[in-house]
Amino acid sequence: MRICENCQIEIKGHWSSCPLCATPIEIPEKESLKESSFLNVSLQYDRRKALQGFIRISLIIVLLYFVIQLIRPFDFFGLEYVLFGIFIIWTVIAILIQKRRNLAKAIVYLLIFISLVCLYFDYTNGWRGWSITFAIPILCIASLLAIFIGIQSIELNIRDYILYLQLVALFGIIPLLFLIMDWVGHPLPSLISVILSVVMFIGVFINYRSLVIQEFQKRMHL
Amino acid sequence: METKNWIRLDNASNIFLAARNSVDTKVFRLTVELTEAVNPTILQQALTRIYEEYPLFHSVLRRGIFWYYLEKSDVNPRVQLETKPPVQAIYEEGSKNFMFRVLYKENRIHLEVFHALTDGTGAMWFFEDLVTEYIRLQYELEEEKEYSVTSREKEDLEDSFKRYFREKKERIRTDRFYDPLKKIVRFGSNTGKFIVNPFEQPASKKVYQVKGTYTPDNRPRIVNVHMPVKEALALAREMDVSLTMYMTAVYILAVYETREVQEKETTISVSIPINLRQLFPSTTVRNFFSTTTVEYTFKEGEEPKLYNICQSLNEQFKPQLEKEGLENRLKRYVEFETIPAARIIPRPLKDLGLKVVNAMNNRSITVAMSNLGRVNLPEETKRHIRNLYFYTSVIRPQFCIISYNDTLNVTFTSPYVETDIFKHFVRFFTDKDIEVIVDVNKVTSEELNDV
Repeated sequence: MRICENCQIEIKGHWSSCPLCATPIEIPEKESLKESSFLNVSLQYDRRKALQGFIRISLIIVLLYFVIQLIRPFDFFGLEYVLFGIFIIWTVIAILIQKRRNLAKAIVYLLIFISLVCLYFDYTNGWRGWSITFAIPILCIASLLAIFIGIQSIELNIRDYILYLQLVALFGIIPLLFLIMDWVGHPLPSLISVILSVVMFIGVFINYRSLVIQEFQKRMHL
Repeated sequence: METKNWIRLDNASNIFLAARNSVDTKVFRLTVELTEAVNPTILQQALTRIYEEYPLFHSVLRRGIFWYYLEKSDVNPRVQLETKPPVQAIYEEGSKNFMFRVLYKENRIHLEVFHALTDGTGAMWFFEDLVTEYIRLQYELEEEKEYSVTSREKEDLEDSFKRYFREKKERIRTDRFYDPLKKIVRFGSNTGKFIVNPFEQPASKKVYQVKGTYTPDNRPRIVNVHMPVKEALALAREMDVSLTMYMTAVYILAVYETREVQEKETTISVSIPINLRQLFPSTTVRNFFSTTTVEYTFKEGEEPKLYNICQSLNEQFKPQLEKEGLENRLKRYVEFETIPAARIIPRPLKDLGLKVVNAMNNRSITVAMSNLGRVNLPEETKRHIRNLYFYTSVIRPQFCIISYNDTLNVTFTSPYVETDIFKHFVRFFTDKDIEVIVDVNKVTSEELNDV
């Protein structure tokens, strides 16, 4: 076994210097090394490198904006859009990493996040109403279809997804409010979203009534 | 389909869920070193059998809107080859993993448990039974009646917190709405604490905090120290205190010697868990413990004496074990769960609140320790076992003690790369000519390349 003369201890494992005091260890020619009980697993990630990567990519995007402005100036959007874009990229990546184990949940989070982003952009651009006329209803329709097709095509455990399906369906009914308040420029996307959501919500509830109620009780217990 | 396949979490578990993060996963690991390489097929057989005996371990953790809950899983656990660093997160949001894992590698078997499932005692029962069963199957030993798997007296799913600390009569009066709130505001004063009321902390007293460089991928630094148990006990006896108190005192001294800043007064506090099963008869497999904090203040220019530290800690610790004080305090925590206002707060907000309370609490703790005492395994299995020890993921340097046969295993874990405190701790014993063997895991790429 390796010995640290300084600490007067016997050391298990392959260390060329003492793990406690960093004094170099003299390794005898013929040593009976005692293996460490710890597994040597190579680093899974390096927090410093991850942060560096994040900063680097963000800076490159900002730099690109300036380079393009230099070569061919345009005033369609300014730097604040670029920064906002970077924020959205990282948020979407964070959501997807966080919710990678439940597809339906990831869709719900993305739906809500992107809807809010659209509302914000529409608002800052003088409120032309494109977000509630087109963006949000179409996002709702797409999400609903995505979860529905997801459940059909890959074998997912219906218990895990059913409430999220219902949640998206409820979200998809919100455009009804847009229609009633007459906020929309064109009623078609909202109308489709509302009809599809209502049909889906009632259909799922009738088909899986006990399952929906059970899951609901379990998750809502006080 | 079973209609009710879920149970509520116990009182202590919620804090673990709120307090866990990527550094401190709230996972602890029990390891046994056998004399021969592990046979995974036999280990799987043993696990399948023991798993049947422990319904609690069938649980997976799920998130509700208001509370977390345990749901019964209908798959069987599998033993896995150890390939990752120790005490990696077990509970991942949205996943339906078991709250424990059984790993093996060469001659070692590990049981890793998420603390929200059970405490050290509960996990140790499962582990003892698993190891005994494995050795029995592997070496075809006869089953002794005394130690048979089915003979262990235990209440698997009992929530002992509720049994002992919940008011029996159901009052539906208005005072139920605000009484508990009032009580929480005037928390008990000096009794040990599971959660410290932040408003009650004396503002002037600053507790020393150990600082360091976090490891690159959040794996804990582990320093496993083996020494002869007899000699350690003799040292403790010299000071007239228990081994727990003695080791804690030596540790406090080591922290003091490695402190970075010189101040007039340095207060070092240690959080120590109390196994409530000893005080409130219970055989629950679920969490049933509380913690208390003892501290020592060093004054500048005063030569620190180990004897004084030992005695001071001992004086503080003894009264904490009184039943009445514990009972009153725990009743408050349990009652908190029944306050309607607290119940309807959505879970993420509860988590946030508990996180804040936990962070405040952490500021009053320098280090932590845990002692599981002596392992008791059937005599016939002992010749196949070389050693047994345990450790946990941590937010601050901590040590765990367990003794097996003649070996005392003091296992330190720390989120930091530095090993200064442990060096001082170890040298304290080697200066007394005690034989110490040290096993340290590698955490940086430089160390990993040193082969």
